[in-house]
Amino acid sequence: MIMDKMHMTRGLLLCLVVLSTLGCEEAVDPVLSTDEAYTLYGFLDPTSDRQAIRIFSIDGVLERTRNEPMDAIVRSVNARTGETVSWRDSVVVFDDLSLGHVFHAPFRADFDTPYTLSVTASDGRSTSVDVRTPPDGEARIVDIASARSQVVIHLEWSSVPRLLQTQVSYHVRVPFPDRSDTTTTRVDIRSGRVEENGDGTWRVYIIPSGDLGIVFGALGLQPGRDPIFLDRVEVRAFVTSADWVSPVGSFDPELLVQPGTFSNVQDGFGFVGGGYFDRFEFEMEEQDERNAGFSVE
Amino acid sequence: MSAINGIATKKRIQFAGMVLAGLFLMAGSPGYSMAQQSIVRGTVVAAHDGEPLQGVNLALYRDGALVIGTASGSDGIYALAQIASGRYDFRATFVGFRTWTDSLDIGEGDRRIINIVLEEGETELDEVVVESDSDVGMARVLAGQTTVRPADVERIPSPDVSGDLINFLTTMPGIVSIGDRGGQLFIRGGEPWQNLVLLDGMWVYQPFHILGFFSSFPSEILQQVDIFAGGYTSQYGGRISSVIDIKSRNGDKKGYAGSATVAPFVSGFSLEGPIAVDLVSFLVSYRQSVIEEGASRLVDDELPFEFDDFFAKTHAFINANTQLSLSLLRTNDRGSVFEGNDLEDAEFVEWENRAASARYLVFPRAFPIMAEFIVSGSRLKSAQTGLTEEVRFSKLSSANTTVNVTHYHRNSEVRWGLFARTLELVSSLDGLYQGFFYRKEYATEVGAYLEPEFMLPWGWRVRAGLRIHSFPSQDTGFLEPRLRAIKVRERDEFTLAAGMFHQEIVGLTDRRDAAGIFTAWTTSTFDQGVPEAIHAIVGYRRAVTQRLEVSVEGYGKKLNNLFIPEWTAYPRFTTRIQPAEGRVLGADFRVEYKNKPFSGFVTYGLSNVRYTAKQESLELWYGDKDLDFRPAHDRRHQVNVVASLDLKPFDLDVRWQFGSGLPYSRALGFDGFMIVDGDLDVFRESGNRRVIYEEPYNGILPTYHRLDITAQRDFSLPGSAILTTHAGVINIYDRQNLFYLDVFTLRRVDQLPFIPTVGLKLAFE
Repeated sequence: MIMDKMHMTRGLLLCLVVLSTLGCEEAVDPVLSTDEAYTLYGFLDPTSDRQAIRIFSIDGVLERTRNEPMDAIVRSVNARTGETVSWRDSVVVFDDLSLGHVFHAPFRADFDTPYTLSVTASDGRSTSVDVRTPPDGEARIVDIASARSQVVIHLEWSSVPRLLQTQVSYHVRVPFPDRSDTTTTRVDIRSGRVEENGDGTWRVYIIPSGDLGIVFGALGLQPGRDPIFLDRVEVRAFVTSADWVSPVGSFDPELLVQPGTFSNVQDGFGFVGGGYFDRFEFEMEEQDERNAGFSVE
Repeated sequence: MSAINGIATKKRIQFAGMVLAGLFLMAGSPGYSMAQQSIVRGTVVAAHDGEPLQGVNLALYRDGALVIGTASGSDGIYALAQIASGRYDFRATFVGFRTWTDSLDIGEGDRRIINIVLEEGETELDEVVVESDSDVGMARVLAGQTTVRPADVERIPSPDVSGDLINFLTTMPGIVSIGDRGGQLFIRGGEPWQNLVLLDGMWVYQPFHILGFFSSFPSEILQQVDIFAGGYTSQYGGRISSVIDIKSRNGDKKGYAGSATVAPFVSGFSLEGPIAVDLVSFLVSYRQSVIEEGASRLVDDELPFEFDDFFAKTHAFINANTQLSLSLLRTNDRGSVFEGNDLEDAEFVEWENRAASARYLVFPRAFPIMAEFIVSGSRLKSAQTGLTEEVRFSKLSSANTTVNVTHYHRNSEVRWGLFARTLELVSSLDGLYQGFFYRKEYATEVGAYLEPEFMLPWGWRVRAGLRIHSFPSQDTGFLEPRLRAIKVRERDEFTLAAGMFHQEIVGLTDRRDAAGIFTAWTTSTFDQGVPEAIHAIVGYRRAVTQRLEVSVEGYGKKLNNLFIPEWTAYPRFTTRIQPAEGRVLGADFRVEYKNKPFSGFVTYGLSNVRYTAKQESLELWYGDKDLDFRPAHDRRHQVNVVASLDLKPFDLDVRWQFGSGLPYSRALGFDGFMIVDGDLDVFRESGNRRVIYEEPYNGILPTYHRLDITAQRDFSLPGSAILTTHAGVINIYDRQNLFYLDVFTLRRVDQLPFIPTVGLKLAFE
């Protein structure tokens, strides 16, 4: 019995010696490298004197962005003229106090022109994107359907590849509480139905009679009690390059967040398009204003 | 046969209900039960403390020949039915107890209740053993069912002087624990929220403490635990993976006993004794973590975990044929599993269980049946918090009523039962689940089951059941067939089990990394149906010698209508869910050897779990409609070696565990994401950080292995007190096992390092 115990104890000690050699750390490499260098977001705006792009470097570790220059040289080349512009880095402090790199350049992009934007790191890795700015569009009123409490304005944009969104601004006058005078103000509404015609033109429908409730609500006024006089209507349509198309139809962030899902960037991720807000203003006839629910002097 | 709705469904359920009702009547009818013959029933308890004894052999002999025999079941209850009139010798034998004998004159139609008290002492070995305690021990698995006694639990090394159920559970093949923190068990490919844990009939929704060595079930309160890793009987439902059914001790009915323990992780006490000698007893247990004062200093590291548990029970023999017990459980846990990184603050998870039950057992003198009535209430509150504020919370409250009835026949039983549950589910999840910021739901479950037992040719004992599980509040119901079969041939045992299971109340959790332990409970609202599982088990066990047993079990599970988190490149918690299917294939191997002074077992679990995700965006992202992957809990190989050596005066317990690496998702890098849907102002919009993942779960974490050793010695003190000293080492060769990998910062959080542990336990009786 005693011998048995001795054998068992020796066996146990031998096991411990063997196992003690296993007590090391096994390395794990959770982040593989990737050839992609940068992720870019933004658009070239031919109506702006300054271009700006947000750039994320693709890193092996997720860290807060530091207040120091990014290792990146950013250039844009106008493929039509050959003009090359160097962009400058800036570290922006956002409302949530996070930092981010926005590269910008003081030039106005040409309409309907291809550009190549390249971002190069000091180790030679490079990310690029080809962008074509949209042409200068033209807008006109095609038709106004006006009946009591129902006014629909049909606009048409021509010579544009795509319209992504429209915004309507109602420039109105409202009287002071004592009705001694009026003040002018503007109510912006992301509104309007956008449809593509077969001939490459785009239809936009504005419905002032439907938007009136929002205008009253935004100004804190009550229909029937408070008059609102309409001066003019401004429609802003965001005109984009032809490739600015979500692969799922809508811009659902839960779907598009997957890298590469919505991207036109080579050797990187993200999307850079060409786009601008095209503005069209008009005044409505008194009868149409009345039908839409606005007051008329 | 799966989820069934509408008029056709209702008709099918009504038809099945009528069938069940007819069978109930048959089961209870005198003709079917042949109730004209006699029955002897009762309870077997130990003389020294009045605790019920399970597995006691009870047999009637006539002229020295065995006529009929059985073994006592849970609560020490036995029944010998359909006995012909005559004179018998009645014997009760149990290892470690003196044989009990009596002479019986059984008349026509006698209904005898004989409660037996067994004295501790030497068993007469020449007794004929009718049916030994063949259902106990690691290797003794019966179609997925393993039965555990406190002694089994106490021989597993742990940092506490007393044993804890979870340490035994994690030695079982097929049970995967993510690590030594988090309190999550994955049983044969199932997820933690798919496990049903019952304590004296109470549903305990999150029973394992945040530090993985501890559960709400210290060995002091355990009488018996039945672990069904699958293929469970019709009595259980509402969960699709496993059942852990725990019966607590009743408390000493003879005298007062108790203990107090001090150790680096937990300290606590237990107390029990008679309220009325031989009739009414109580049992109280309380444990409180002392990690900050103890273990943290031993490892010189902050271990941000706190927990406590309290259990109280009183049990009464109201008269010779009725018992009543009242149980109460309270647990609290709080800790940080994700310790924060450069971008995010640490997250704390906390939960509390509250449960109470009343359990009434009766075997009416007039009928050959035993009936169990359980009324219980359970509540789980859990929250995920930041450093200062509550971020998400979930609350699940339920009231449960269950009736289980057993009809005894000569060589078989018929079991049937009824159940009803009402649930209130409240969750606040930041709109991450189906757009709800605050959600309150009510659900009702009612149903019935019938499970007769048959003896088939070639020695197969078959238990075939049908369970109707209806959710009136959801207008949904299910028919669940179940089957268990056992064939014993000398030293060999063959087992089969199969069944269908559904789970209407589901847990939402983010399983993209191991830190995701916060679970929110809700009703399943997917259009395609509620989660469903089909289990199949085939097993074989052989007693190679009296001391050596081996068993092997193969199993398969088909999982339908699963909910899994949507795959997303956004970091951290998401409860957006996607449908998935799953399948589990595996095999468990067990070898157990018992020969004093040595005893031990080796288990090996082989498992292969695959999920097929059906997220709508998968085709967009990966080109295929379905994504087939290994989920994060798919541990392919798992080995446990447990040995106990009685080196008088010391007891030495050793455990070595090995697990192959778990799948995880590797990243290619990190960048940011902005939605470019129009006039993006890059000077104002900050965007979100993003992970550039490879395809899900195609990396493998390092293997896991660890050796724990503990030694104990008892010292007798005056006044029948015993001082137990406990010393040991957890992770003796200081293996740096990975617990959690923060892919955002590359920071690895390892499991517990080399920890010396000491403890004292003072017990008296």
